[in-house]
Amino acid sequence: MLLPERSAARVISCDVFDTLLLRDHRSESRRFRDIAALAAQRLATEHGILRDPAAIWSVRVEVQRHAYRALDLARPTGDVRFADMVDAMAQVLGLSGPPAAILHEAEIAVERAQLSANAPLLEWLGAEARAGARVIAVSDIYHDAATIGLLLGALCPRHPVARIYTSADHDATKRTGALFATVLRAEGAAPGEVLHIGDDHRADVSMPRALGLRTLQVVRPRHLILRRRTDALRARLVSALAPPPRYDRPGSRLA
Amino acid sequence: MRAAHPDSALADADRFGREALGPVFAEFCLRLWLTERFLPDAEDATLLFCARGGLRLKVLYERFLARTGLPGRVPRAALMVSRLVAARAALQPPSEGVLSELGREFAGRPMTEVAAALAQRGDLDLPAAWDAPFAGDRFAALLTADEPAAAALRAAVAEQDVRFRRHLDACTGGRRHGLLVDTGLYGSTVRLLQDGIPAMGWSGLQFARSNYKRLPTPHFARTLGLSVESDSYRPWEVSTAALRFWHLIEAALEPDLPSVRVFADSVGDAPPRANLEVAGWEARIGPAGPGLFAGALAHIETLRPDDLPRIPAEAARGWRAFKRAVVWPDARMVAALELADRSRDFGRLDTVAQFSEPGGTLARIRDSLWREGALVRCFPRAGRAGLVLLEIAHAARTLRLQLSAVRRTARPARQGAP
Repeated sequence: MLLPERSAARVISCDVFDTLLLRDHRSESRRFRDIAALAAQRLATEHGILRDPAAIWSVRVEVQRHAYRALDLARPTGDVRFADMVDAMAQVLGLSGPPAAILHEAEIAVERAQLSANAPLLEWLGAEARAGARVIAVSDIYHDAATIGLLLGALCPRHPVARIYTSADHDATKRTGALFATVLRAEGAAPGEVLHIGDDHRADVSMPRALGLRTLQVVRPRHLILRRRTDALRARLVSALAPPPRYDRPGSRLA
Repeated sequence: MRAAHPDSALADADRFGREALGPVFAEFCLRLWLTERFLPDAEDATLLFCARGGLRLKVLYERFLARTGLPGRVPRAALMVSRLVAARAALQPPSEGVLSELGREFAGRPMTEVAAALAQRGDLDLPAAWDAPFAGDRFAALLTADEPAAAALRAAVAEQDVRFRRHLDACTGGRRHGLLVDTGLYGSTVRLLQDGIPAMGWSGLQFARSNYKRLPTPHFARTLGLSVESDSYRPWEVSTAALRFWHLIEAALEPDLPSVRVFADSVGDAPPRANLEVAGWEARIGPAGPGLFAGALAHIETLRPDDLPRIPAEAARGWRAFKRAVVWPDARMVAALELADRSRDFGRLDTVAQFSEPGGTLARIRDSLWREGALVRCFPRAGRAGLVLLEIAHAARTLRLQLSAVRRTARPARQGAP
């Protein structure tokens, strides 16, 4: 990524995932499996509750898929909140109280383990902040600002981000342009005063550019994208070939 | 082929309902619950379970919620609707959607037949021009013409449409987002109501969504197939086996009640009543005895809250059992899945047989509602080899279609490259 010496922007808006915080080669599917495995392990050791990791994983996938499809039916510019997904997962998995909180904690723990700080970008942003620019984070994500703040604080303790805007908190996304309108209003900035940096072409480049913001695209290495796709394919194949867990339901004769 | 004993076929159908359809419908119910759980502005929405298949889905869903303890938060109602009723709503003036729907349904049939279906009256004295085969633009012109017979047809359609809208108002209680819960496939009702009643927001929550009609799909962005979403059968996607014998799903879910054709005027403050709402209609939604639906409902009745995490895995097993029975049937399954004649609907009373009878053997197989079943029926010994050939043909066709899709996607990218 080629960063200009100085941005000449009053506000620098930065995407979070794969921009400020970099994901590794693992696919989303693998990450969800890792989260499910950790949650199952903690439920068993801390509360004596047995839940099959495959069941936790499939409930997570079902909940997330149908939450977003429901959103698209009535408010396609909005976003789903992770707390609501955890609540629905807990209901389906029959968990409440501290065991239900493990679903949330496992997610954050795995994210922390699999993310790393984008050091060159953060260093550049730090210099920009010292030169007077206001640095903010703007993310299309189901997490709230507090969770993103926690991850940023853990992985890059001296980050220069002054405020975090997430689509879940504001029920508005970057990919539809709605979140940028919210950000401009809250920051009291004109579009031309803002430089937005991110990796996604639609959410971080074409949409903000259409609204008059300046943009800079962070491109992840091709080999990493390829590894993620291979990992996702591998996860699909493993899932397709694995026999489903057997349950002893009275009267069931299906093998 | 030797006919199976009727009692044993019924018991097999009941077991198939319990072991294949039950888990699949449980997964549908879980997905329906997730959809209403995450629906924004739920206070402005109503789940409208559409007659007729949706009425049984309502029974399954309500029993599912009761058994699992999951809380429903969107009000539910039984909507007396059919494609015919929805088409009337989109006729003044005729929308593009209603004309394409009528064009497909009445291809080659005289427009007098369309008029009789819409008005549900045989006393319309329509001019000779109406005897011509259906054509969308001609039909629209005739319907809007300034002459007495067309005016009588418009009045008959409008009278029924007003009654339907009053029934709809009673179902929604003023809430403005109608989520139509139905069996599927193309979602004509969603499209027609979206065209005809644009003041409301419409979505479709169907068991299956498939553009088998190959018509435009402006409503697909708001129509979900919660259990199946595909335009054709794909051998490697087990749930698409439902498209090999769709009438089986329809037959399992449709109660022995007539399709909604007309509404009688209301008495007092009560909303208009549909012809489906005969005495005791609600009791007739439930199973009359052992069979596909009774088995499926029995499975739902065995669910406990701690079964919820297992539903996806059990549904996967249910789909495999479904595919085994439908795509690779043996004589016993053919007997178990024998259906009564299916109604053609859209205001008509004629029916279609599950297994076509006239013509040669190949024509009988081709024209049947369940080709695999017809093949085994016609060739009890060699049928298995035929099924293998059929599956290979489906696999080849699907691969060809997917390759064409990949080529179509790749071509513009290549053309755009420097």
